[in-house]
Amino acid sequence: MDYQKLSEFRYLRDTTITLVARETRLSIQSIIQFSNKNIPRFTSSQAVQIFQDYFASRNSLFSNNNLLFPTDEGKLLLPDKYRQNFKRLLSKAGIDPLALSPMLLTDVHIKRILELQFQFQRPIYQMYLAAALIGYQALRPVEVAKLQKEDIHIDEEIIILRDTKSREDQYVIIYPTLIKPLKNYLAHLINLQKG
Amino acid sequence: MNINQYLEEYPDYLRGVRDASENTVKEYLHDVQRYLDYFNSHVSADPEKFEITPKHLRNYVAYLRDVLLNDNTTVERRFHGISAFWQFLYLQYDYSTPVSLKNCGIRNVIKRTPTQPISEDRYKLILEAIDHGLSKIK
Repeated sequence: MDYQKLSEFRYLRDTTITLVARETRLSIQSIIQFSNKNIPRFTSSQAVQIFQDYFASRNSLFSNNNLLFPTDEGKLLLPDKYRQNFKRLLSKAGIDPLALSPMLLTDVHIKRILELQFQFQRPIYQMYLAAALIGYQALRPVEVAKLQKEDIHIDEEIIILRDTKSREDQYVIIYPTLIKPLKNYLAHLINLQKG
Repeated sequence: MNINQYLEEYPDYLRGVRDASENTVKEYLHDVQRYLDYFNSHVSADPEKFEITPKHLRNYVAYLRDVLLNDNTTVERRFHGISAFWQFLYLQYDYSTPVSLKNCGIRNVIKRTPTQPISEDRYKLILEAIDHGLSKIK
């Protein structure tokens, strides 16, 4: 089992249930029994995006499951289990979980919960970026491991490799395919730092 | 031969003259130390009698292979450290001319596992998977 994928799946599932509960005012009991045919309708674009991400994550783990919000084992998620996860989600987002139900969440709360997504996806993004830097840029694994965000200059489209095998700093032009993903990734990192 | 003094100077020679990295200095020094240990226990413990000759190297390689069961890659690597030390003695202290592994009469065939190039189709699949992963970073 890919624990990284599972961790992202749990976050996306619990966040999606939370958004569905908040927007539809349906009970948790009824939402967790949704089947694949019960595609919720969201009003906000952020919610649509998170649902799409969740759906892709769910399908990669449980392609033949009829439940829309299954547990890690593909079984029916119990309401109490969701509530536990919901409290953890709020804590992680720095929101006081006492007496808060999904219906009472404000837009600010939702924003903070959605900002957590990057933290769950970061290891996966890192893996893809590392593979791309090795595959497209022909960097050595040790050079990728040593990269600091200050070494990536998106505006100049260069990466500075420090303390390389030749013991000199080297300048590498960023491969066009990598500019946008690197830019997005760095933007997330900067937001995380600010947060 | 004042081996202890030479061993003290050897790291500076590697760094200063051969522009070796710290890892190389550490490894080469270790290789010489291992040879010295062998020499002390099998030839002579007297530091004044320390020497590097093709005959001693042949015996040392046999010891590495037969007693320590080192494989050919390790044997060759150990030899590099000693060879550099021999070169250092030759250049700095007019010691005898260094002799290569081959000219010492030591056969060392390293069997390398042939690398299998990735087929074009597989390479495309890997790049597609990477591209798909990169597209997720929004």
